[in-house]
Amino acid sequence: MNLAVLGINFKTAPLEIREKASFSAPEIPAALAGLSSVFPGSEFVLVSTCNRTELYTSGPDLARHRGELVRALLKDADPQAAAGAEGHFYAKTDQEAAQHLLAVASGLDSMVVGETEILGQIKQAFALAGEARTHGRWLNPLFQNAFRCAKRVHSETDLCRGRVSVSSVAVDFAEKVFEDLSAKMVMIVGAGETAELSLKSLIEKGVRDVLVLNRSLDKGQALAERCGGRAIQFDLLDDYLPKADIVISSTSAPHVVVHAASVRRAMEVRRGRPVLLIDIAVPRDIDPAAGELKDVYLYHIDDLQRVASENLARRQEAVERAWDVVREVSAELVDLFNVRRVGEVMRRLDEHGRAVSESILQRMLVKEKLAPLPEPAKEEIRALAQKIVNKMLAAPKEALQQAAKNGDWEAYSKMATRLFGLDKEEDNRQGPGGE
Amino acid sequence: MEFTVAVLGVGCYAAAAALAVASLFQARSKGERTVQAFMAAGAVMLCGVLVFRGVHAASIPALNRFEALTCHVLTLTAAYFLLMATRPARGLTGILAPYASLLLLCGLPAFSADAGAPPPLQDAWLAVHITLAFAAYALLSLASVLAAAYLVQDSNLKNKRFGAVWERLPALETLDHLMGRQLGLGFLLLTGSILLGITLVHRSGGGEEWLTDPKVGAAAVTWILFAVLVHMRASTGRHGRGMAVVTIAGMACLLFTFIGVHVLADSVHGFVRILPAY
Repeated sequence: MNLAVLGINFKTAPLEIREKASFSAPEIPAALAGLSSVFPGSEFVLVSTCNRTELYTSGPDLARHRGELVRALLKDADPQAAAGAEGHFYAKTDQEAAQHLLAVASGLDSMVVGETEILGQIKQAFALAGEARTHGRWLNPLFQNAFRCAKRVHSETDLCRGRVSVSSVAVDFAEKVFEDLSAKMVMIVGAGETAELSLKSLIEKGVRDVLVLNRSLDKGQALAERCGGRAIQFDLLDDYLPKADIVISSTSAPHVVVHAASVRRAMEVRRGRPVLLIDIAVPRDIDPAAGELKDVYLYHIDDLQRVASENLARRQEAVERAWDVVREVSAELVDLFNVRRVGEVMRRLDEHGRAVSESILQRMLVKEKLAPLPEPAKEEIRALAQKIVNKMLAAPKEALQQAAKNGDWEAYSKMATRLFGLDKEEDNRQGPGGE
Repeated sequence: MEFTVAVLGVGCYAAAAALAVASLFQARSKGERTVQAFMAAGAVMLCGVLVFRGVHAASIPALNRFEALTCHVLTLTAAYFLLMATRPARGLTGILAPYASLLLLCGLPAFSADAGAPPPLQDAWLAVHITLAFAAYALLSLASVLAAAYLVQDSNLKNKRFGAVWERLPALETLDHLMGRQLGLGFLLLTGSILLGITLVHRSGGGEEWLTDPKVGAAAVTWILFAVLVHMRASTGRHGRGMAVVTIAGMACLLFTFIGVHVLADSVHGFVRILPAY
């Protein structure tokens, strides 16, 4: 078993390289099947997002097969391009690879530290590998522990708490005022960049009904088209205000655009249904007096920035604690793998013992003196031989178990493999593409 | 033994209250489940005490101050768990558990006081009348807990306090919807209970003493207040902070009908007559 990860991400490769190694969900099963046919008996999980493509494997020796695997990830791009891209790939093995996955799943390796979308993407990649039957004895516990680790990081630390971009903080506010954003109307006053970004964040959260009001109707229509909304005349602001649940304003007007009186009139029509006003403009577009009205929640750019900064600071403080969780789970995982690895050596020892006793018995039982023995007597001899083998192997197996507990599993496993000639048997069993 | 179990039950609620308030101020706290476990354990113990007392006295175990307040807390707890089963909303225990604990602590000193309803009414319909009343009180109390949560969240949003309490409590609209549901159903049950009470009095041949009973008068005022509230929500579509304030005012009125009225005057209703402390 060689646990490894081979991949590229936004830190190691520019977009031009990353897009060459990008796999859509429907492409992944075929890629996994291709890898399985080249490396039979190995396990693979392929994670591909816009920021990273990573192949988790258990089987192929990266030192020997790195080139083949990189070419597979680059979808067999021409050799020149592949050679140029290879340098952007990183490879990690054993505990380092396991720890890397735990960190990625927890959002510690993401572009926006603490984002949780990556966990869903890894779960999807794991499910696809499950459908393709390319994960099993080693990658299964690795990924299950990665999910467990991410869950712990999310619940035990502040790493994923709150949003960190000014444009998306508006979503936090909206989610604390409204139950279901998909049923809400958002009105955008002006077509500023931050307002558009805030709108996009809200649309990602399910907002469907968008009204765009802009002095220039053409510009408003362009924004409305981009976000699937409707553009209306700027003069109709007061008419539409009562219908809007969320108003995001970002005009460049030097004066107030949304007056407190207009909001008061709108609230009379709304009969206590709350309204969220987000004023991103400097100077301010929305009369601050509107924020004092009942059921009106008014925030300006400084509020958004303050919350975003606080969330970012909280996340940064949480990074070290999150790494502690990752290291803790990683150590547990290493122990689990060590026990499994020793278990593997013990299984091979048993197989070796059975094979040796069976081959000797087969030769002996056909000889002249033993051949006439009745079948029950032959069975007795077989059982006796097996008992002797088991007795002889008991002490080495116990020593291996003890070694696993003490962390010396590697030296003891190697020694047992060497002493009993298990490595030769393994070599005989390996296919041409295997280790 | 019976008293010890009751004290343990009240203790569980008090522990739940302390934990709930503490966890309300921790955004990532997992304390809510522990709070719920404490509340459930307390409810089981107190329910056991009430069942034992009911069987032992062969009467409805809701006729002295301890029993009435415990019954109210138990139905409120049941209403809360039913709400959580259909629409989980975090942070409510931070308000509900202290309220329940306070009521239980008020009831505990009257543990040994004995009471019974007027003999002619001691039948199955009386049980239905009382059950409906307690169910209505529970739902209307839950509505006021939601209203209190609404006001806290409104204050957080208005004053830009984006801390742990802000994170833990649900969205304003969620609280408003849930409040509306509890109010509607609670009002229906309260109406049913009052109508059944009138029928029982009529059937027993009672008249004057019931008509002049302060508890009946207070119940009528409470009913009118909730009728106006439900009408404002359902027919005129009123929501928001104002409705939350009126809901809490309605609950204050309900508590006065349930307990407070006995402090000021004698009532022919159940446990009061033998509890001059009220």
